[in-house]
Order: sequence, then C-alpha cells, then structure tokens
Amino acid sequence: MSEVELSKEEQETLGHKLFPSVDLLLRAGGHISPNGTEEEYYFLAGHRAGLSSWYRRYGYSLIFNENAYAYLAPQGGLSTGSPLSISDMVAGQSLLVMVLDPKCLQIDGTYLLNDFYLKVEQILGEDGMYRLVDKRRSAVKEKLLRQVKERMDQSLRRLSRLHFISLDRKGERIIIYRAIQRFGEQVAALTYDPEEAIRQMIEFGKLVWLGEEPDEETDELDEDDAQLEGAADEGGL
Amino acid sequence: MEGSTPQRKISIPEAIERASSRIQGLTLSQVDIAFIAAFYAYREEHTANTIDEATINDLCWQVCDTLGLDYDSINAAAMVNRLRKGQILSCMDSFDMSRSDAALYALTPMAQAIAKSAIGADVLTSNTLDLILARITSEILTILSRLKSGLSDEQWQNEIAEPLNTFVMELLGAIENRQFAMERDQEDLRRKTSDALDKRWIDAMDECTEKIQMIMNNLNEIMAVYLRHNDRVSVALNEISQLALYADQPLVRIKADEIHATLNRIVKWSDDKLTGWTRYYKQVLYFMNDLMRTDPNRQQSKRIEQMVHAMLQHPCAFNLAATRRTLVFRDLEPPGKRVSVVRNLVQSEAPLESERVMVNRCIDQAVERSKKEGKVRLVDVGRLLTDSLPQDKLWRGLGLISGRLKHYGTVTTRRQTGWHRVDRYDTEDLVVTLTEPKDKDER
Repeated sequence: MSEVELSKEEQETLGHKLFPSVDLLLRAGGHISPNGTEEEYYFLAGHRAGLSSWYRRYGYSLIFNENAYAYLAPQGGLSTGSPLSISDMVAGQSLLVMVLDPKCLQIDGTYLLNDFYLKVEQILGEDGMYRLVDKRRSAVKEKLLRQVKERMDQSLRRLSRLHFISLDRKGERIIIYRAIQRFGEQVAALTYDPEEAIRQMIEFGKLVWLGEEPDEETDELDEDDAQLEGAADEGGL
Repeated sequence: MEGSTPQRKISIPEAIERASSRIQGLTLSQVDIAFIAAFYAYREEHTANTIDEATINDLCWQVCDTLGLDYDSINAAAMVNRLRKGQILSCMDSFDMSRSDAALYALTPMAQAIAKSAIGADVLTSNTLDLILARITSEILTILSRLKSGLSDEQWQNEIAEPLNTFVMELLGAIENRQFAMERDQEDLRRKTSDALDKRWIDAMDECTEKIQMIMNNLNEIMAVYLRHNDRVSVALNEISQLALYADQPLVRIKADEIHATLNRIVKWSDDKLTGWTRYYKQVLYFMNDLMRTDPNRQQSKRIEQMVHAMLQHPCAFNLAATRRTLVFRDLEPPGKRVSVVRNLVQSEAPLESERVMVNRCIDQAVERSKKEGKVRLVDVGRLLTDSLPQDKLWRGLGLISGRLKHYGTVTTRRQTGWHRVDRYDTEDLVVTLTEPKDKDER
C-alpha cells in the first residue's frame, strides 16, 4: 500500500471536530449556508483550502459562494452524483421567487406552506402542471392539483435533507436558507435566453439532462390523441 | 396590619365582573377613534380639559373632512350620546365637576389612554426613558432612606407601601406603554420598508436603511440607559425587600419583589427587541446587498419563472454529490474472483421428513394393519402419528389425515360420532371403508 502525505492544511481540517459532520453533509449533496448551518459554514470558510484539496482527491470540486452557500460538485474520478428531479428544481426555483419578493421582509423569515403551493401553481400555470405530472390535458383539475402538491411535498422533503430549507415541527412553515440562491445561478447573466442558458449550464457541467428531451411532435400527437379520445367518448367516432 | 395592606391583585373572574358592570355597550368605530384622537389633540393644543358642543361639532367636521366622509352620515349627537354611555366622554359643569346634565365634555382616563395609544403619543426614546428611570431610582432611594430610621405600621403604609404601589408602579406602567407604542412603530416600519422596496426597488434602499438604522440606534441607546439604572434600582429594591422581611411587613416585601419583576420584564423586553431588530436588520441588509444589488433591474424573478418552463420542456437538474461511503484513502485493488461455497450431500444425512411424508407413512402402516378388517379408523391413524411426529408438528399432521385417507376409500361417519382422545387433541371417529387406491403415485 502506498503512503499518502497530507498537507498541513488537510491535517488541520481533518482533525477538526466539525469535519465529520460537514463531510457527511457535503458528500450527501448537502448545502451549507450561513443561516441554518452557521457553525459548519464558518468552519468551511476557515478551512476552504484544506477541504478543497482533500475533496479534489476524490474528484469533487468544493464550490464556495461568498455569503451564501457551499457544496460539493462531482467532477468525475471517484466522485459520484445524483441529480435532482424536475419537481425538485421547480420547488427550489419557486422558493427563490418567494425570497426575491420584498414582502418577505415583513415576516420573520418563515413562509407558509400554503403560500408555497400557490406560488408553484402561479408559476407553472395549468400547462406547466400538466407537463410536470406528465398528464394529458383531459385529466381532472382537482386530481392534477393534488398530484402537483404531492410532488412538491416530496421535493420539499428532499430539499430539506439537502439543507436548502427546513420545515417546522408542524410541517406548516418553511424556513429558507441562503443556499436556495443556487436555483438562481442559471439566470445570472444579464442578456438571457432560457434555452441557451440551459445548454451553457449543461456544457459547464452545472446541470445534467434528466433523460431524453420530450419531442415537440410527440406532444402534439398526444394532444391529438386526447382530442380523438374525447370525440370517441362523446360518440363522435 | 390591615391598614397597611397594599391594593391586592385582582382575580380574572373579578376583573371580568367589574369591567362588564362598569362599562356597558361600548363599541368603537373607526370614526369614534378618530374623534377621540381629535379631541385629545385639541385638548393638548388649547390646554383645555373640557370642550362645548360647538367645538364637538367642529371636531366632527374635521374628522369627516379628513376621512372623506359625509358629515350627516356620522350623526354627531348620537355619537356623543353613545360615547357618554360607554364612558369615553364625561359631562362636566362650569366648576369642572362631573354632572350628567352638564353641557361641557371631557375625555375620561380610558379615552385618554385610547387616544395616546392611537396617535402614538408616548414615544420611547433614550431621553424619556432616562428621565423616568431617574425618577424611579430617586423615589426608591428615598423610600429606602426612610426605612433605615425604623417605622411604625402606619408609616410603613403611608411612606413605603403607598409610594411603591402608586408612584413607582405608574412610572413603570408609563415605560411599558411607550414600549407598546414602539413595537407598533417597528411593525409599521417593516411594512413601509417592504412597500417601498416593492415599489421603488433600488431607489428606496438608502432611505429604508437609514430608518432601520435609526431604530437600531434608539434600541441600543435604550438598552444602555436600562443597564445604567437597573443595577442601582435592583440593589435598592432587594434591600427594601429584606428590611420588610425583618420588620414583618410581607405585603411591602411582595410589592418590592413585584416591582423588581416588572423592571426585569421591561429590561428583557428591550433586550429581546434589540436582538429581534438586529436580526431583521441583517435580513434587510442581506436582501439589499445580495439579492437587490445583483439584480438592479428586478428581472430575476421573471427569468426564473421562464427558466421553470424551459426546464419542463428540456428536463435537466443539478447533479449533487451522492455518497455517504467513507472512502479509504489507499490504492484500490480489484476484488478477487469469488468462489461459491458448496459441498455434496453425505449419504448418512437423510433429508428431513416433512409432516406430509410422515402422515402418509403412518396412514400406509394403519392401512396395512387394517386390511383384514376391510376398514381403517381415523383414531388409529392419529395414535400412530403421535408416536411418529414431534409435538410441535402433531397439530399440522393431524390436520392432513382426512385428506390423505380419501385416496384409500370412502369416508363414512356414524350418526352419533364418537370422539376419542389422541394425545392432547380430540379426534372424530371416522371410518374409511377401503377400496382400491385412486392413484398409487400420490401415496
């Protein structure tokens, strides 16, 4: 077995009492913010060099966004990654939109769960909701809303495990951490085209495809099928 | 010591009873409160305790004018009558004596409190607080100096209990009123800050920061004033409490402790407000510096919404680190070829007999024995089984008998079936008349 020499910075970092908890959190995809995981954040800020070189050995890149958040980005090698789902992305982006509203300054930093559902509904619109749950437009709206809500609940639980947010004990309020700003990374450029931004983010490894892109023609066919089915139900065929 | 009894605390049921019997039918509308506030302002401006009907009418006009209401809609005479009944206004004669048929009107203490609260007349600043606390300190030190010379019961009542009960408690009450007003001001400022940033975005930043900073400074100064006075007052109150204990004046001691507790509550309020406001200040600074300054044209929300729809069309997401496994930092070697662990069955190891096999074997034996008689009794098979099967398998084994016997012939039962004991179970005395087995393989 070959010997591995640790740098002085790495030795100090790995010997720190907070290292195990920070390490587990980061390896599990967790995000560390100055609010929520304050102690861990300042440990990380003070040991950036040691942590960066340590995780580089595994193929992870330690991303440290000043005043906001830190996380590990898998860059190949021994590092492994797991993508968020599209519902998780929608939930995170909707939460960021809520944070960007100055009205949030009137409250104590917590958000009602119900306001979140309304925001998601407002952002997605009916078309977006059908697309999210992969349903045809003929589905009953109440059922659609229920399914979107269920997906959002799942996503909130995942975002909570990843320390983007936390939920209060009753599960009625959401506490949003600064890491939620990561969901705004894609729109930072001043001149902006959403599809072009997605392509660039994928090229830079900041986003990954979640499977094949839906074919526009297939979508149109689906709608046609739905119309045909509707006509058949009405006795038209 | 009855004479030196300070006013005792009122119980909840007593408070409800007194309030409901003294003040009846009091409902205040927005217009009523506006009128009370106008009356209070007039009173302050003209240093007059009472006003006549003409002034009341004039005030009503001003209320309507300011609120954009029709004068006839408020019916001034009815309003005054209602406020009198609700003990908001009292009637006074020209000697300033209360008289129900007099033509001059005054605000009752309750109305004054409402007006002060409504217009935020009591402002808590470091100067007002310093003044009030200085008076409290001075009064308590005076009381303490009286105590050192030794007092009669009457002196305890007049010179200690009464000033503590009225003067000091009222001054503390004045601080609490101001705190309440300050709380509302802060809430108001938070709302205005949000509105201003919502409407004017970056242009409102400096103005909002300045106002928030002002409250922050005021809270810091207030806290400093508390800290300056609190120690001195606390020590003096403790001393009064101790001396009252030695002089067997429990009610004075209770009052001193009560004042101490009130003072602590007031200081704690201030500390909590300072902490809360500091947090709010940080939140606003973060919002302005990290969210607003990076988005001067307020485009980000809109773009995120567009991005949501783009991602639904082209599903993609963040790729997050996903391993909890602690990797050992050493050279990785490929695992060796796995060899399955197998061995052949040894001849001496007979496979374990299942219950079904045992049942079949016992039945076969019973059939062999009973061939001469031409019939098999179920009870006999049962008894054979009890010898062959272990206790934990007997119950299941007995259950399998009748199914198996069908293969040997016709099962018949007598009209009055007998029951026989087989081990711990009762077994029905069924009889099988033997015929040729249906399928020998099944045996």
